Amino acid sequence: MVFVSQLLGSLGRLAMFLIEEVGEMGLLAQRTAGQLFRMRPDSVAVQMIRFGIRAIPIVALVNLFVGMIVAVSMSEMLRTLGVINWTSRVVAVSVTRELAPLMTAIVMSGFAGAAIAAEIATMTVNEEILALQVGALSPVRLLVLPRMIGVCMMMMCLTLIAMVLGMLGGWIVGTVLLDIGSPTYIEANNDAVKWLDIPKGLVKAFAFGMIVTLVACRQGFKAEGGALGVGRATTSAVVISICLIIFANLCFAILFNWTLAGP
Amino acid sequence: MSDDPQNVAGHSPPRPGAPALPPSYDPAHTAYLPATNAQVVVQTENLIKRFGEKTVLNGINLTVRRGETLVIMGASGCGKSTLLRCLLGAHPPDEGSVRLFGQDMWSLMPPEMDAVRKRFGTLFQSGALFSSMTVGENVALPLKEHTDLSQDMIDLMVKVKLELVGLREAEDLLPSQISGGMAKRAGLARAIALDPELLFYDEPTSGLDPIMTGIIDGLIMDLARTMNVTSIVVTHDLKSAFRVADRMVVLNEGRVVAEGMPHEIKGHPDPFVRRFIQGPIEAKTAIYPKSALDKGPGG
Repeated sequence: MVFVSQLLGSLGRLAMFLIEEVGEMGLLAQRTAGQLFRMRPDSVAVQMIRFGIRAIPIVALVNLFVGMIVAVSMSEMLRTLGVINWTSRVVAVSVTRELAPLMTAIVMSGFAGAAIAAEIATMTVNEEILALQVGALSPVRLLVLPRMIGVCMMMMCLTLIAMVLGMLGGWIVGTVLLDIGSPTYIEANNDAVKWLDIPKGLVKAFAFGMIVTLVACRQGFKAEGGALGVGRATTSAVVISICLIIFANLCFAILFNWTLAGP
Repeated sequence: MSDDPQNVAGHSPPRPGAPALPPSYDPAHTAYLPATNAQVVVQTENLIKRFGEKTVLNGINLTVRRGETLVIMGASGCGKSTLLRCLLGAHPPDEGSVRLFGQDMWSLMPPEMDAVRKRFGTLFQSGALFSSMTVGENVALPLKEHTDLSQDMIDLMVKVKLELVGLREAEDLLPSQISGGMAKRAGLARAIALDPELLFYDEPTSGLDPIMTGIIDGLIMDLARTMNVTSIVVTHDLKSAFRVADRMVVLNEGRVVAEGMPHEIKGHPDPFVRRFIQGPIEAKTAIYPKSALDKGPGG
């Protein structure tokens, strides 16, 4: 009886925590949208360079390897089925529809999300956020908005790069290890990629960028307790954003594959 | 000027040019008493603030008039910082009201609250400079955001404000490249960037050496004298408090236990105030309530 009571209590607290977090992030998103027309392009450009340009090497490397892994993993089964040339199709579809946006978002939750959360949490514990508020300066406009726009824009660019690099990884494995001719591989690859997959991937990338930024800013703003609080905010930002990104990816998969395409 | 808190000779001199001064200026204690008809700038009525079960502020009534320097003192954990945050509009009171410039802060819509906030400046304990900006950019930020001044004029204003606090040479340095005393002065330059009518100081001299403490105290007094700024100083630095105060309030366990001119506080009959002012080492546990000792420093 005590166990059941404790279990229900824990579930209740978890539910309350999730509702509060989602509600607070919704409010933050609403306040950010309200400041959209007061955006400063120079601040956005700084964040795009900081979180976008500098993330290109790591995003490219990760997605190159992901494309190679998919090609290697699928090759044995495809060879058994006698359709080894389909390796390029499998890689192209999986990379453009799922893996490039997802892997880029996960990399960015560590690269940008952790940095944003640590930065804002440090500002919070050092009273810099309070100084902005009592100085009639909106932390949402000055801190959240440029980061959100910058990260969302760069997430889309990075996802495009990730798609190309993922397919390149598959091409390297296909042509070097699986002895598929380069023209054959490229032709099958181009056949497999539907033009609609790319905007779908970009929509996902934009949404994941919003998740990364909102979670990081929210965790940063609620930080307290000095260096320990900053560390806790950073860890929470990465963990929560990865969970939300994967959940959002599931929602997009249902939306794009069943709802929009029909069951 | 003596550093002895018992010596009242070092108190703020009268402010020349302020019409309310002559009838209310008290030469015996060299402290400025604003005329009773001077505009009320800050007023709290029965201010109560709780955090969970703990009542941190328990019925605070304060009135600060234009041009006055009020020092709020008290032991660590007595509610000074919470009171300051309530006055700044950072913490909503659970009961009672906070009125700045005659407006109840928590009945205002956000744009109206921002309009009130533009009329005061705040010096935070750590300076709270934005670490990604240079000292000059920190001072320029309120000017860029709240005025229509040209960039040239803003640059000039930044130089003037930094010159006022003796930091002209630090304009291009990052906060991480300057000392704690310089950070406080830079914070003060940012706080006065918009020429506020009211200035809040949170522990302006904590962690500073005596020379820097004297410089910061001098700046507080000069700003009050030259700009007729109303000042509210939260501190537990007695020397500094008696040097800058026109009037003082002593808090203990969330209540005002003493209020008056510096000489009145020195002669106050309340045992807590007497011990707080005299600070005998053997009476330490008697000065600090147990709750404050448990909570630790940070007011």
